[in-house]
Amino acid sequence: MSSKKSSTLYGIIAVLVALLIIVASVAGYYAAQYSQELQANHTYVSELNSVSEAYSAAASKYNSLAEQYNGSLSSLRELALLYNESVGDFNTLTSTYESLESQYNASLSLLVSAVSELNTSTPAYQNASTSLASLWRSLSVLALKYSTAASQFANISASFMGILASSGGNASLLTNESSFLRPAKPLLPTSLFHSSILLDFGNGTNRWYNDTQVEPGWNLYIATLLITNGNLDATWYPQYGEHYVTGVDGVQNSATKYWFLWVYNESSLSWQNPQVGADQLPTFNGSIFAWTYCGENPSTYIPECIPGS
Amino acid sequence: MIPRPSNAKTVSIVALFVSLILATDYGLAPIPNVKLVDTLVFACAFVFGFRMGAYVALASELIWGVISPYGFGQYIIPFLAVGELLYAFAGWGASRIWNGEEISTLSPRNTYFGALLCICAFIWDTETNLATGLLQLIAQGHITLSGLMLFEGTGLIFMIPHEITDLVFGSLLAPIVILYFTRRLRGGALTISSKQEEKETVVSRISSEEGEGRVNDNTDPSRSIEL
Repeated sequence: MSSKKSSTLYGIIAVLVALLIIVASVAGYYAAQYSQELQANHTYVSELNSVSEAYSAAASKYNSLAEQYNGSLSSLRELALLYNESVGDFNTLTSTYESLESQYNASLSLLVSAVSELNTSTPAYQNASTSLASLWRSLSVLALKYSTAASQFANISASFMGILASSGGNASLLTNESSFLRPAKPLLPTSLFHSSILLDFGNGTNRWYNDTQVEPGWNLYIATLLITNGNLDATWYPQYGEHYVTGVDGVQNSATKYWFLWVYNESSLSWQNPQVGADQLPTFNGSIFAWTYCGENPSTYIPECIPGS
Repeated sequence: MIPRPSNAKTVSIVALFVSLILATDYGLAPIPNVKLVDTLVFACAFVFGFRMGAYVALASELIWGVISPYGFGQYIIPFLAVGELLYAFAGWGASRIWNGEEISTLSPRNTYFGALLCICAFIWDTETNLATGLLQLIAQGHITLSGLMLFEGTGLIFMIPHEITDLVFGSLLAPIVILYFTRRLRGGALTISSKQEEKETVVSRISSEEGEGRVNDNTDPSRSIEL
């Protein structure tokens, strides 16, 4: 082969090799890029899978929480229904109680009127006077029990509404708050008077009946009947509209000793004999009375004792 | 008597090429991996022989490694310089193959130069990437084949423009430089020929001068010199 042909051949070979090198370099570069992208893709896929698994776990947890919430919500609805039922029952009970209490009060008033005016020697008076005290005590206990129950129910109701408000707000429950019954406010007990009565038996025995609850309008005679459980002996004088007390709590007037009525004067801070009888002495809040058993001055008829001496 | 080679002209040619290389390197510094050093070393070796090409390659890479705008090259400098010798060798080899043929600025044969430069670029990049990887892994204290391959792989993005630019510059610029210096040598003070021709020329001249009784004058501009 001539030198020119061999040099041409070498040149062609060189060109081919150079082209091959360039193509191989470009191919290698793209292969490297592809490998990098593939690795990155695998990384993304694995990250995506892990995120997907985390999402699935979170979703299942969410579903479980949602089920619990729905369950608790239905329980809450059931509770709300029960609440409404119980409030309804309580309101019915309240109205019934108020009705009964009203009738009871009416009956008591009639009894008081009867006791105030009945002949004390009649059996009816004996029964009525005895019954009055027990009936009054029963009413007081019942009223206290009702007041306590109503207060407790009101607390329960307030707690329940508080639970609803803090439940995270189920809109349907909270926006329909008007669908919840409110417990009826308990009837306020009639404002009773608190009066204090002393029984001084003259032999050193003093019995105080502090804060005796009496209805407004009741007189001292009725109040004394209450504290002695009807064990009050008296003679009714209709022409005077007064009872003459002859015995208190089993202690009767004698030839030398009598029961005297006293009223405590807050201004002068002293005991005074009233000018009227027990039937004419109204009780009021904070009033203080006393019955003393002792003799009297034969000339002045002034009692020989003062309460508590 | 064989005339002494002119060291001044050797130094001046080397200095010329090195300064050209450094100037173009600085000018093309913003464009990474695009350099004229390879083409100029190749052309120098093609025209003036392997030794001149090697001088140019070593000097230019050593200087560039120190004063490069990218920073001091440190332990990679020897690898760059040795790698550049490859271009000198390629230039000398090309001169052995194609020196007798007519070289023109526009000729399909110029692609042979470009192809040679492209091959040399590939080998140079492979060698320098391996060296870089080796130095890094030695510093880390853990040398692995996969680590070295990783450095080779990451260097591919820089290898491709280097090969393509060498192919282009080798095809377009190298013939121009070769032609310029070849014509300067033939038309000017210097001539360039093979060693055998030189020897024969010198021997015959000495014989004729001895015969005529003249003393050899090294300042004769028509003398051929050993390079």
